[in-house]
Amino acid sequence: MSADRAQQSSGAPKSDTRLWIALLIFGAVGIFAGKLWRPGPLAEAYVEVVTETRVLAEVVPAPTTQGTSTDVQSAETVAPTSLEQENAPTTRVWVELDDPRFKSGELRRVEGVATEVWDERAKVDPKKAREQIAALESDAEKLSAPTDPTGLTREEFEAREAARMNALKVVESTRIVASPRDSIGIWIAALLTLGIFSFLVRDNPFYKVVESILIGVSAAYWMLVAFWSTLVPDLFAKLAPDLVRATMLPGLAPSEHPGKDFLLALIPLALGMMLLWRLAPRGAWIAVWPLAVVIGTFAGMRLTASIEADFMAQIAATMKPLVAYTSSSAEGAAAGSAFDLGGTLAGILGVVGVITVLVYFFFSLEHKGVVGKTARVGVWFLMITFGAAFGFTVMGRITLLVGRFDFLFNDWLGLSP
Amino acid sequence: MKQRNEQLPPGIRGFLIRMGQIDRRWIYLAVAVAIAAPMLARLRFPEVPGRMAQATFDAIESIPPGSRVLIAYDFDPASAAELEPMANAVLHHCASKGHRIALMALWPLGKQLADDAIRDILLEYHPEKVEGVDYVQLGFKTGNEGVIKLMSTSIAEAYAADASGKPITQIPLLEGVRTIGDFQLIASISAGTPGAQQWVQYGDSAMPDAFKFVAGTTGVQSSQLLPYYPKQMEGMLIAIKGAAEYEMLVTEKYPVTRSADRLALGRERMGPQFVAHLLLIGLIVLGNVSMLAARGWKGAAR
Repeated sequence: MSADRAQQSSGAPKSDTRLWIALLIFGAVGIFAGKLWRPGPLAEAYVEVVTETRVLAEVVPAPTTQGTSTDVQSAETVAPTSLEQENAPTTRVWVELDDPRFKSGELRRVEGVATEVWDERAKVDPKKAREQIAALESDAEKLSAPTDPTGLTREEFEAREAARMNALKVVESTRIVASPRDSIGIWIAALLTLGIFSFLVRDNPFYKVVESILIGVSAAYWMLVAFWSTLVPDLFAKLAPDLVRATMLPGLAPSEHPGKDFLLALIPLALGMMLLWRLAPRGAWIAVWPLAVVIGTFAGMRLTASIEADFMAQIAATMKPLVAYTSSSAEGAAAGSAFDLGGTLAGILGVVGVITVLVYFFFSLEHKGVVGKTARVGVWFLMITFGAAFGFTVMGRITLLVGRFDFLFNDWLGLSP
Repeated sequence: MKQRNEQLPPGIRGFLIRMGQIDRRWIYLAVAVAIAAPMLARLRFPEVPGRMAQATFDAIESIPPGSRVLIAYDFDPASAAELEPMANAVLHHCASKGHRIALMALWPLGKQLADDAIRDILLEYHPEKVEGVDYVQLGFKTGNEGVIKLMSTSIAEAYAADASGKPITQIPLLEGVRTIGDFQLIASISAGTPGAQQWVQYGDSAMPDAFKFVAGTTGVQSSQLLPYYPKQMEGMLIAIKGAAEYEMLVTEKYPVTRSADRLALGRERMGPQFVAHLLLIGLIVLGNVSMLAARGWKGAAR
């Protein structure tokens, strides 16, 4: 190792210089080719902006309206449940301003609550976005001209004009725009990717920075995931549902058994606090008890699952007929199904493989004579298995590299046709 | 043999020995070029479906239209290059066949990948599909294999509401669904733990024969999962090769007319794969020849 390092350090400057130059040329040619291929900015990104509007409405209690909503965003029950129709809980839902159920009387708007308006941004493929923008501009130009009334009755003219105005409204409300924010994101992602790749040449400060960013972001991300997906819904929401609803999860549905949930949530709360006791200067043994609960529960769960799926079922799967036919059923074999050479060989190979590998791992007998030769065959089976696993791993890793190159070439450099 | 080795012309022997000592960074660069060139040239080869890809295709085909299918996005963007193509193809296949699809995730970022698939695949190729009736996004649930275990006794305990907060009792697609045994097929697109192995251990084993189970896996994970096929897994898609074969089967039967690139990602990525594999095989051969040139047969055997 030290000789290798010495060799690298002695010949490093020359080799490194050549490599850096080759990489720079490779990168520059890529960017230049991208500009020639399809003129346009690097890291081109577009989004479709849709303005969403929601108003708070009450479901009018009527038998025909129960359970028919398909576009309800969130719902909250504001009265206790009752079997009596007149005392039925009033359900409030956030719906679109032009929801047809307002006209049919199924919903009525709750007065005094402000309308919620926000923009939804959906990424659009740059090529598709350019086509759509051109099509929208063309449609807007055509639709902006008033309908020619020549030869039309008044009704026909009004109908066509209404249709034109509606189409124009749709075209004008469709906003596909370039997104500088997403473009900056692509640039950052591309530079971070190149930073990680730079380690292949040699360890360097750029790589160190990117590595630190990756670790920091991952740690923060997992902390947030644990907080929002475990602590908030499974602990805080059960201990203090009203507080959680007011501060964190407005859409939190009321529990059917709040008292029971509260008492049950005290158990993980206590175990969690006991686990954190490990950080205290005294009484670290207290942390052993929740660990025992975790390990015991996990072992119990794993044991039954592994015995069934990885032991019994695997033994059953190994017990196959040595002579195989194209039909696996006994009736099919009796009816004269064709002899399956491949299946037969696979069956024999499977049995030989299982027995020889088991013999290799049987250490109560010295591996000499017949046992030694059988174990040797087992080693060959193991080597082939490891080789196949390595081959799969290589295929997987190359695909990941292809994925990153795909991002650099298409999303960043814009080399896709 | 050693004597024969020493009879090599000094120039060739020296060249071979030098090739064995080449700076590994040139190899990295060669791999980069071997992958970049076919990508830019959009090199693509025809795929012949293998037994496992065919079995996966047949499993989804064999259940009647309208069946409930649960697709678990058990991966994150780190494995998306390998698994997204097969996830896209499975989703398109199920939607084309007319199955009703529930999507879920045991990995936090799997939910976002499933959202992308709904937008880019389901609604792009099947705009007629209605949320809640034809598909539902259950979202991510923390708990790893515990979630599967819970879903094998009560889905409502694991998922009280879908990802948008709508109670599952109000979702027509899940009407009458109590456990995972009420789905006709479950597909796990899996990058590790929790994933396909846990679905076999805690789902399939808990209720064998209740549903068909298929999996799409990364190359790294596949050797661990192969023993489950075909008894505990009806079908299995292994890495990008499995994705490419399955994509071909699906798009041949259910072609799309626009934005077909999203259903050809697997086949596109097999072109660079082929060239890179050739390079690696060449490098392995070259490394061994170089070692033989330097040490001879007897030295190499040590």
